[in-house]
Amino acid sequence: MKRPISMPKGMSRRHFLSHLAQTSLALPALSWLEHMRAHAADIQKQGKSVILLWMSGGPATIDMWDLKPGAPTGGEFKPIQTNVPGIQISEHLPRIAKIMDKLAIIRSMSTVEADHSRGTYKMHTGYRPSNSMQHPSFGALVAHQLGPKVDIDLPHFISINTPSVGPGFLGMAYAPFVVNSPGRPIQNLQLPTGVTPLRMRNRLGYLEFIENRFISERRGTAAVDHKKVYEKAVRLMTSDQLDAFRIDKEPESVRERYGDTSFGRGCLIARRLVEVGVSFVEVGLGGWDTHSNTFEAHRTRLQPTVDQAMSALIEDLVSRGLYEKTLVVWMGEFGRTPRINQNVGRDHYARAWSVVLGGCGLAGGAVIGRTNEDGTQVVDRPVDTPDLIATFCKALGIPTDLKFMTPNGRPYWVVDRNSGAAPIHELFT
Amino acid sequence: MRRAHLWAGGVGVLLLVCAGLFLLKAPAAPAGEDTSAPSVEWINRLVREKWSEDPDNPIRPSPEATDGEFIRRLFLDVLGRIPTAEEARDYITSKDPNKKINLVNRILFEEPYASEYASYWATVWSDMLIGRNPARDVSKASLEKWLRDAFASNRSWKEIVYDLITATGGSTPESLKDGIPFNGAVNFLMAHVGDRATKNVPATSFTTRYFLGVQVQCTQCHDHPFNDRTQADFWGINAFFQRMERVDVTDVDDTGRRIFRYAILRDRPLYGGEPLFVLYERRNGLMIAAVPRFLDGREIRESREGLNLRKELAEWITSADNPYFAPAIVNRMWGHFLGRGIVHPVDDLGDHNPPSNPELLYQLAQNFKENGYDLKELIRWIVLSEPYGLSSKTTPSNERDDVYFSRYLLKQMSPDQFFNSLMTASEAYKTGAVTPERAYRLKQELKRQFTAVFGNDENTEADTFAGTIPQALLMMNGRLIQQATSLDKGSYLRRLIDSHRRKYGRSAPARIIDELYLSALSRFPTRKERALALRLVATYARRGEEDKAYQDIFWALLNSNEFALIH
Repeated sequence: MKRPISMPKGMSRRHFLSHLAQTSLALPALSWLEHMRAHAADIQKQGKSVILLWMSGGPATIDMWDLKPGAPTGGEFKPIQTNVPGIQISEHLPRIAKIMDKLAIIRSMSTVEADHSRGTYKMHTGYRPSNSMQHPSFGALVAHQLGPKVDIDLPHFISINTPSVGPGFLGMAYAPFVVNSPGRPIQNLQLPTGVTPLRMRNRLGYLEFIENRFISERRGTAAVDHKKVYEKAVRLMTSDQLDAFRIDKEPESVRERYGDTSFGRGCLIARRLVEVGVSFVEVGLGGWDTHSNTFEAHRTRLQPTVDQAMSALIEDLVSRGLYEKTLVVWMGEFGRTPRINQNVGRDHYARAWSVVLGGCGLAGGAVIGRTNEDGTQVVDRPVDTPDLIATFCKALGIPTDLKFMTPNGRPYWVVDRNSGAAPIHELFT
Repeated sequence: MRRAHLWAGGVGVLLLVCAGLFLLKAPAAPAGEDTSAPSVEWINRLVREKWSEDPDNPIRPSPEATDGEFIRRLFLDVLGRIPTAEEARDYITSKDPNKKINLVNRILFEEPYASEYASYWATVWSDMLIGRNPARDVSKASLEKWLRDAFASNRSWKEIVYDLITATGGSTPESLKDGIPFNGAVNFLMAHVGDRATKNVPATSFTTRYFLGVQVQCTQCHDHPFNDRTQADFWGINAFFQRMERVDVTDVDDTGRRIFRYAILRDRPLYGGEPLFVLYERRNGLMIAAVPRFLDGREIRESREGLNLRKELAEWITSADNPYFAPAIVNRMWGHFLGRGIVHPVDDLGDHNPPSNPELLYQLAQNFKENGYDLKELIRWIVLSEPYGLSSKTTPSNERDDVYFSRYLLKQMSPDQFFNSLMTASEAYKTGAVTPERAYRLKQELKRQFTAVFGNDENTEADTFAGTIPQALLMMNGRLIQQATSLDKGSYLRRLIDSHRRKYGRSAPARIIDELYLSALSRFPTRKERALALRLVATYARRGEEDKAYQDIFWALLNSNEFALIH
């Protein structure tokens, strides 16, 4: 990389900003830059954050967090002891076993939706897909709720290696900023050749004029969101905080600890983003849809990747004092059938599976709920997605009875009001 | 009230049958003659009934869209691009009282528009049927070519679907060298054969989802919790594909590597007395045999000489009695044009998800059937209807209505529409700045950038071309926008500025600004806009950089919400 990615060619951020801030004789004042000027001072880093490790495809949690040795459904892996007496996990998660006291396992997830897109929607929003409402994904909600408290240039909902789920009725201003190649510079941040900051200022000024006119005609929220997204993009163009995406600034030894995988790089960037103050970072790892040869995939690729990156992430968050204000969640859209099919695979199963979480003051070294001997049923303390959302809310200080009106006048509760959901109180001791 | 509606519906069917007979005899839409009038009347009546359904709170629809708004949305929805400055100006300034219907007929039936129509819809359908970036051994180009020919000759939807489900032959023209008939249509099912573990599972869900508008893919593994479909429904349809097979034809190169040439899709022949079932696994591990079974419960238990299961399936799917086939396509088309299906989402028909206007859906489907499943005729009805012609500006009484079509709902462009519109506004093809081949590559690159694929076996695509930060950055600083706003020799702006200066002298700036607005936004600037733009031009001119002012204004127009949204 020849140039720092954070600045237009050969120009400091301050220089660029001062040009942008100039008033032109021809154009009205540029309102969407006021924010930037106001904020040139140091940024605040007080807020709470979430890192969601998203296991796309639906992980076989029975082979990771809730093993059934001896049962016909038990599979090929052996359990190992963790640093918490009485808690055992897969032999292919040795590093996580050493920090089990920092994490809680919910072994009694029971969530109904066993289709990829429906399950992905439900686990991200807490609701089933509905024809009458587009629910925001939890990342968008956190950006909406916690973002305004931490004034940074970066978007408050960043999704690495996964499209996540959209912002629903909250609008595109809360859409995930999707990063597809973690470690590579973000595209199109620099002004085109021949366009000076002064000209950029004129361009943006004229653009704002056209945007405002169209918005004033009351055609719908998409017109307003378009402008908000451009504001965020302009802010990003002029920001030093983009350094958070540069893992080449980390020592080689740190990068090695996270693993030379796209997921490992994503987790390292997630840590750097949380350090800047980003509210919600999702990091995706795909390949969990193991309808065939599930054990080989878990042994050779999936579990080692998770073990390395997730343990490094949590250790770093702890040692930097960030774990107390960062909620880390590991989950997919559903679990997989205890029964092993004819292709040595496991199929979709939402009736009994596991989610792992920690940080943000939650009790570590805990196990919530229990499945039966072959893992087919939850026998103690079933947990559904709304309970999980309520738990996240409580940990983050978002009221669990928070209610909105959508733009078309329908009420929406962050935690599904009809579900009877409640935070998992055992985690708040 | 309910009974009255149904009665009205019955009369409607009779009237529509008559209209249909008339239309079948009529030649392809002669200009000026409004053969679509009876159907348009019906649509308008049924839509209006919903607006006044609640007498205490009637919904007042938005006013009619301006000519500029209408031609812009019509071109985007029918041809996949905005109109050129010239096309927009001609329409806006025309005094012809029949200009609307003449325009609709022209872009559907006259060249070069009819070819553009065929290309655009071929892309739309191939993106849906096999995805934006299918596997390398599936020929998207061949499927698109097949669809283009089908849409160009306006083949009936019934025939198109029948052929897609029953297609056999080679996947690319390469097969002709071996004496195997080439049939681009095979690429649809070829893309969804699946592997040994998921045999024909994707073929089953794509066929039912796109041609019947029903979701059965969740029932692959379990009964559906909220609608009446079961696992047996899924495997009953799946069993119709049991004899289909894909054979890859490969070469071996000098280094001994296998090189894929093309694939053949065919059916292993059936004889009498053969077992006709596929096996699937219940969630409790029980293996169940499924025989070919239609969604209405009828089964094919007996195998016989010459039986072709895919033909049986195609015949049932496209039969006039199939309760899903016609509603699925009219609902999808309605959703394409109006921004929301009468049943929404458009591919989830069934008792669990009722239509917002049942009579409208029923009438449209009935009318479509009686008109020979004619897609262009269906498009004419929809785009000439009252709801399609409404403004997207809300009124106090309709700002909360998003299901009764009392205003035109704002829509995001697809990557295709966006790219084609950018090329149109900057006259990229006309100026030779972009060759068609290069345009195709650029477009694929853009689609890749804005299409995220979920990491699961169903290859679900998220079309994220909806105004994201990376998209804004691309439009502000990327290569595409630099080309579109170039001042280099031969570019759109260069030619526009030079020719107007020669022709208009001192009044050139105002005329150039008009032209930029027509190119990008299909309208003239307002007085205020023109004044502001002229001031900017004057400021730049004092520094001897007048041309850069036009560049900056055009940049702003192309980056605006008004450009990016279909409104």
